[in-house]
Amino acid sequence: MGDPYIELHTGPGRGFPIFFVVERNDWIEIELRHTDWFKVRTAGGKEGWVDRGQLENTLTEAGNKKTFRDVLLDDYLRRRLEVGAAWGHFASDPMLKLWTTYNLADTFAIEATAGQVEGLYSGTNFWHVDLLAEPWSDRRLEPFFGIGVGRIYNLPNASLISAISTTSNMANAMVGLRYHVSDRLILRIDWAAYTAFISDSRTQQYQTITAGLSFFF
Amino acid sequence: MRIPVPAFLLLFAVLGFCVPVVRAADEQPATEAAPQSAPQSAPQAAPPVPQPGAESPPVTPPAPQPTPSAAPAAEPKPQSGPLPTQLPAPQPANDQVIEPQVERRPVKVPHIPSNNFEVGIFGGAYDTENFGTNAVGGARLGYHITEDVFVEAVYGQTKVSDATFRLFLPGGIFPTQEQILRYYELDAGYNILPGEIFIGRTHAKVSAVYVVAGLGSTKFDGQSNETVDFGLGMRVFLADWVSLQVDMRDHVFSMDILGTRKDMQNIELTTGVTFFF
Repeated sequence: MGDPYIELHTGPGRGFPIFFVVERNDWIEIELRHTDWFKVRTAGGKEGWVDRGQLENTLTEAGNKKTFRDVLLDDYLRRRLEVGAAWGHFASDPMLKLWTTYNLADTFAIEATAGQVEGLYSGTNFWHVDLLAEPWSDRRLEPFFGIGVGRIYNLPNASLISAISTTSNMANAMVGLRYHVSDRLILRIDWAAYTAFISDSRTQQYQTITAGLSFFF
Repeated sequence: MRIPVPAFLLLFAVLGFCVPVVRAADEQPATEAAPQSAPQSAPQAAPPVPQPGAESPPVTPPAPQPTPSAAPAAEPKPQSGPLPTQLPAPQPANDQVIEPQVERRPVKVPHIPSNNFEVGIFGGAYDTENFGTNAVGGARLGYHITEDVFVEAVYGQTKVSDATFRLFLPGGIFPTQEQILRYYELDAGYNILPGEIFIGRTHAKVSAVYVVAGLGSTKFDGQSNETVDFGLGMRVFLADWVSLQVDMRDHVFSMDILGTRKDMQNIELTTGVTFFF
């Protein structure tokens, strides 16, 4: 324990009452983490929840070199996996998409997206895999670019008569803007152009614009 | 404009007075260094006189207290008296701060188990507008980002029957009397009323009342429709890893199965069990 004292709450939240205080130099055992709250057990056997902020000065096993704060900073710098969802328009129809991003490097990421478009007369499902470039990944407001390939499925609604469903390969290019709201949460807006290769002699272009949010694990 | 010579000398005298003080504060042998540099800089001391406008020369050869030949000998000595009293003050800054007596602990912090994910199943009643209420079942996968905010993906399915329509509309509305309605939704939730529930005098369970809202898709009668959902729920943790929850949600989507396109409000009441991992 590096802080003068830490407060044990009865639950993992700021509003839960404080029922015990651990003094500096006492030992605590960290048992569980739930969001930014840590369940600790004192030497005397009391169990309670402590906020991350109060544990940041706690010292780890090997003495004074690496503090809890460093451990959390490492977590932040090593974060790689991001998941997000967005809503927008796919050629004037409403669409919803879900993506997972894995950051290969600070400025380079790979992303897999699945989406669904709910048109009035037909529905479209698609997935694509993109490579993203984030040249300004150290900025809070950060533009990014992506290109990728995938597949697109168009399914007409049953109320249409004699419509046929189509499946084709597609390619896409994307430009977007990310805003880091907190260390975990990101707001994102992007514009993408999809090209569906419907047959050897025919392609169809779609443009989408979506807004959503994502978070790091 | 020329600075009068006495003023210039005075300036040097002031500089010469100041610099040894600074040096002496930096390092102890400064008093020795000053006299050594003095003879070297003595020839340099002459050129500055014709060019007094240049500011930099006086700084680099600050040692030239030389003008009055007696002064260099006289000045450092009185300074060397008070200086040692000033020395101890800046020095502690370079000193190592007292080593804290840290006790080593065997806890491996980097591997704290966390349970921010949740997976759950639920069941209840889903009221499809115009088509009555039927049992619904589903599953959810969630992730708690902060103590307030969580996100979840929900999948559910229920049966919809047009039996009432078939009473006066032979052939009904659907191709078959019973259709399966499936939905999935991506929701964000906020714990608006976190708290505790007290059971007897000795037990308190963590709980939260939350609001959720999200978007998704409902597939029903061959149509897939964008769906907006919102609702209210409550969760009670039985232990750190399991909670019971009740949810009331409204799923809104528009359909044209009854002739005109209209928004359908579909209220759902469910209860479920959720596991955290």
